[in-house]
Amino acid sequence: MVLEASFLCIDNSDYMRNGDHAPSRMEAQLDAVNLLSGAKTQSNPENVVGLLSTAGRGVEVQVALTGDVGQVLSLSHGIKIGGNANLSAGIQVAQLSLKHRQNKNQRQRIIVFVGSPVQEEEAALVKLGKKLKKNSVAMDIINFGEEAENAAKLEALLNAVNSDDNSHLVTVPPGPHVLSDILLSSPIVQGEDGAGAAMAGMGGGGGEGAGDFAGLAVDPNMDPEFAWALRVSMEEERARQEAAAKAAEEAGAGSAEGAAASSGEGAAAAPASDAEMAEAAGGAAAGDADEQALLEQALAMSMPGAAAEQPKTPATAPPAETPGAPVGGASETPASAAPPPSAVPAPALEDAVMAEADEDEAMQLALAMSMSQGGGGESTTPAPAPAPAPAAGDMSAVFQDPSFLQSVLGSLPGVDPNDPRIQSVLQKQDGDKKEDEDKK
Amino acid sequence: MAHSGPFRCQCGQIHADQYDGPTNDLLPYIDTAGVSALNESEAGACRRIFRPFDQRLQRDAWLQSEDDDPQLLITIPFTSPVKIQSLTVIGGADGSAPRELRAYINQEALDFDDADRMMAVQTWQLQEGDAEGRIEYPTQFSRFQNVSRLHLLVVDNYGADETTIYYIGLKGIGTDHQRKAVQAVYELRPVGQGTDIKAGAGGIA
Repeated sequence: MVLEASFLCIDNSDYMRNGDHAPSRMEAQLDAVNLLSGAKTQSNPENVVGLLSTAGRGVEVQVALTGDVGQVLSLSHGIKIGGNANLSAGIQVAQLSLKHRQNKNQRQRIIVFVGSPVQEEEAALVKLGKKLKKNSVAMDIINFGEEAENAAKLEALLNAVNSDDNSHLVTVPPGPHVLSDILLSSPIVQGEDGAGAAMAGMGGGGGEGAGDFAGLAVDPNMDPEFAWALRVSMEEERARQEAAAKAAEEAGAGSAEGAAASSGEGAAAAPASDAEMAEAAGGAAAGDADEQALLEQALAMSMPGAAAEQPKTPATAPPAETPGAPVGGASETPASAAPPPSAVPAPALEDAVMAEADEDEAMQLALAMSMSQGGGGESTTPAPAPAPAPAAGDMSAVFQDPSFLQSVLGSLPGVDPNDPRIQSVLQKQDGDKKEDEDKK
Repeated sequence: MAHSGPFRCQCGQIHADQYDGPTNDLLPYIDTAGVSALNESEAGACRRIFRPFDQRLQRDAWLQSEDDDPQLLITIPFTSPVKIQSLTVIGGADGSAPRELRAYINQEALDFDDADRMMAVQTWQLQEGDAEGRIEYPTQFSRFQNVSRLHLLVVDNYGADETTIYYIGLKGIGTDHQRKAVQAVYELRPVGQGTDIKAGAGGIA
């Protein structure tokens, strides 16, 4: 938040037509000018920036020191390319403009873009740098374009100007990266201790997509009331979900609330998708027949059933969708909406490994859910792996009757009782029961 | 309130505990937070050389110029306009004491180029070896009547690579003139003693 007057010197020589910095060096420079002037004026509202071009017919001041970033941006696009850059003259003109700034309390800083071969001798640059240091002018140098050729001279200039680390040199080699992005993470924008980072990041990006962290990072700085409102609404949402989950556990997961709560918990990433899920699941369950409701809950339960770890959710989506394939799109949308956002960071390898186990667990859980609908009073938790075991244990008595299982499975539309996976699950259940009996 | 100087306090008592000696030290009028210097080797060191007169012999704090450059430009703002009578400088040893000193008055901001171009209000040739600050260099008092900001330029020293200054003392008379809005109470007619008139919010008698 240092009070500073910054003068930007851009290189508009013929070397700027080169396309090694996409889309052309000039465009990359102008983009960076936009970024820097925005960052400077944001970090302190009293900061001013100016702009001059070092090539063309001669050094020409495009924008005098002003706090209006829009003016800088609009005038920067009118700069014509041509001629050769005169670095020392540009720096001296910038120093003179800074000397005549309105507010003498502002620190003086010159930010130079060097994209063409420097014609001055190193000794001359060092002398210039010392003069700047003596008059307490700091400098940031951005070396791009001909960086190998200019590296030594610009290093010497930086060492001459640098006083207590107030000056920086950033070298940007050509490549697929964007010049502005490199500057964004450099000490030029970041400041000595990364103070400008939050500001620049929030000013550049939308901020909303990143979710809670980004929203809270900028809010206290710029809009504390908004931040407070956001925080309160998110806490309320969480409290509501927790309360709904508790109610669901007590009342039995067969109710629509349980489905809403579990689906809300399963898609814990963003409150927006929670609301969507709850609405979709609730609406579907209320409006349709019992079978539909059963399916809804089975789907909802199967997702949080493996949703404790993000990688598992995409694996549950295919088996969850298999029994629900012929059902209308409404039930699938919440199922597919929630896993994709949470599955984005998941590595695909983990999914493949987990697939086998998850299908079985998901199947068991789905069966458990559908059982509890008829049985009632059974406490089922939407929790992950531990849940299927105790749930299955509770259901053991019911599962011991394979004919009952077959009938239930047959009643579920889209589930083929002859499906080999279901057969294996049934047999596994029988096998488990027999082992239990043997142990007893 | 001042117990000495042109406007002594009217309390009528003897202040035996107050030192009534030379108290035309201008240190109370110097805005020490606003003191700055160009070409100093350590940012902020310039504030340490403005100390009370009886601490002038301390050697633990000093101002030094940058490597290979003996010049210094010190900016001294005052909290209210002052009249400067004399100044005292204690410099370093081995040729690092300042030799020529130029003063500029009431300039908003000076740098070395501006100072070269301008005529100084006064120039002094300082003696080397005055390690105890016994020499007071008098000013042309008529030119230093209404000083709000003083710039002191050290042009060169006695041969060392850097200039070192341990203490700068200014002596003179401070006026307590402040540039503030006046809170006045207007009397339409004389009011007797014992009436409590408060300024502000229509303090009209």
